[in-house]
Amino acid sequence: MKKRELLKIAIIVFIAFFILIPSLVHAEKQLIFDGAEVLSSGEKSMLEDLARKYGAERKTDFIILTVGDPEAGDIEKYMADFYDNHKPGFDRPGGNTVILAVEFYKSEGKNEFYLAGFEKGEKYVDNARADQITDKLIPYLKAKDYVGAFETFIETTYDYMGYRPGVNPESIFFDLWFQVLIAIGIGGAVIGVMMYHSGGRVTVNQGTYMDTNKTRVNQRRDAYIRTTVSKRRKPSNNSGSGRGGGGGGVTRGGSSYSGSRKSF
Amino acid sequence: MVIHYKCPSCGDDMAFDSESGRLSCASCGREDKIEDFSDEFIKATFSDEDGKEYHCKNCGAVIITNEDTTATSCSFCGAGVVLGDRLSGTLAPVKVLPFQISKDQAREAFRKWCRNGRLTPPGFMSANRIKNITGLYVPFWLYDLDSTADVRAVGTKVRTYTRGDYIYTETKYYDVYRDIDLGYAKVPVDASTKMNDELMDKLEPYNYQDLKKFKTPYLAGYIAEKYNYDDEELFPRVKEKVQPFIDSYIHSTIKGYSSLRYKTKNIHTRMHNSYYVLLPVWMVYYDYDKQEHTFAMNGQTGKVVGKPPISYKKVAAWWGSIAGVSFITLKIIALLLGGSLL
Repeated sequence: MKKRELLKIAIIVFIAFFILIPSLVHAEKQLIFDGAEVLSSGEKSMLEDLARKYGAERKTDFIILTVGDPEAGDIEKYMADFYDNHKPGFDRPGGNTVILAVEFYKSEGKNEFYLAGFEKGEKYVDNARADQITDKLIPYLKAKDYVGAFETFIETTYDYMGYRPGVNPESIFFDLWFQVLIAIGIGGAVIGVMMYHSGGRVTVNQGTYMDTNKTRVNQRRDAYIRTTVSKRRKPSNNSGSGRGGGGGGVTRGGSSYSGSRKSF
Repeated sequence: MVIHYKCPSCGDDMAFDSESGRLSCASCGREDKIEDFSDEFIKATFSDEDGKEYHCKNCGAVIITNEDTTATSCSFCGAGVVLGDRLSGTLAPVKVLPFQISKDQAREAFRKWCRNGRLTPPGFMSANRIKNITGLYVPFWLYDLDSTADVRAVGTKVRTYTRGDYIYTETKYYDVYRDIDLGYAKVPVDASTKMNDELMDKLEPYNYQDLKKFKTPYLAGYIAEKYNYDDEELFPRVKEKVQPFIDSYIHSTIKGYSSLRYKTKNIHTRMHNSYYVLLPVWMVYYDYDKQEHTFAMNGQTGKVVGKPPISYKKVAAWWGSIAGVSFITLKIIALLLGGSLL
């Protein structure tokens, strides 16, 4: 009896340990690094909560870096070094992470920002998706609505990571009205064919009356005349990210990432 | 010249029986083999008399006919009569395809067809308003055709490959030439003005193995007509009919090209032979919603053609359910790819 109870308690403790410990670890984890001090403490904790909530569902850390230090150097390099030094990651240090790094020290229109995905983030926020997300952020950043920009970043990244890798989440195929339209179209086409055939269909074909004894090819010639060759440049692999540049890379620490660079 | 088949045993009217394929008497059950009947009526020549009246040999009443009728029933006593003078000389059919579906079978087959109408109104599906069902021998010309096709075309074969930073598209051009002989046997063309060509075309194919040498008793009890157009007049129509067959055969001989452009296509079609035949059609007249609908049924195979009324309710229901199923399918695919529910 006693032994069994002890065992029960041991199991509960064991389970609790695994439930509580990671959440404790996560609770301590900082996700917003507001170096440029563009956020109030209230906004910061609000965004922290939002990033934690959505990040947990995608098992990925959503991290925001704001850079106010003019000595920081290139934004992409700064972001990569941050990843190497802090080793963020939802699953393990240096694991699943999506980082949005924004400069706030250059003159208007020159500030750059970089969105990068590591590990699962690299797979689910590939270059094309990163480019789509950064495109969405530009209007907010231009309007100096930084909270709006960061909220959009977290929510959109969360949304996109729900789609299978390689699928364009903005595809028209996912639109309700498009699905309805296609469904109605299929129905209409099937009904059209049914109505067309309702009066009886033609069931003779070219073979029905053919006299095979008399039908033959007397002469056939397939003479080669000439060859023409045209060439075009191979389209670059990182599709869609032509305008914003970027397109991922490898940190000095050796972690590869996807990404997109834009300015505002 | 009215031909009337009276049963030698009991004196009742005899008619062609589609089941036995013989001339039979409904009263006493006598059956006569049609192959043994003489051709005297077909071979005899009759003097041409316009506006001639035919009198029923059975009852003596005037038989109501129009100028194309070659066989009918006496409207007075119901006896099946054949107008021999309209089936002789140049008007003598070479062959006839006797009915293989009886009136009752035709009615049943038509009911079955109505029940399968997915878009027809429920009231129509019960098929209980068949007004009239008539066995009709429709005059057809069967053509044996010899065609030659002389075709020149340019074909291309396209290959793409990648070398370095460039994608190369290599197009090879070929000069294609074909000299083809085509033979078509027994292509049918409806020779009666009354029948809708499109409807008759849909009735095909008939199985010609059952074609019989023409004898007048086959028509006993049915309605038959003579041709309105001779084989020369209908030759353009048969050429038009085989044109798509020829085109698709030509295309089938030119394979393996990515694209094909015909430069010249000289097709000559010659009439090798033509036969005047009578093919069996059941005409079904059906009253629905104060309108008469006409259907034709292949008297050999039972295939039904004709425009049935359309129920818009049913169309809407089908449309809706197909659209619904498609939508759900699309949604499931979208969900599997990660799309949201709404």
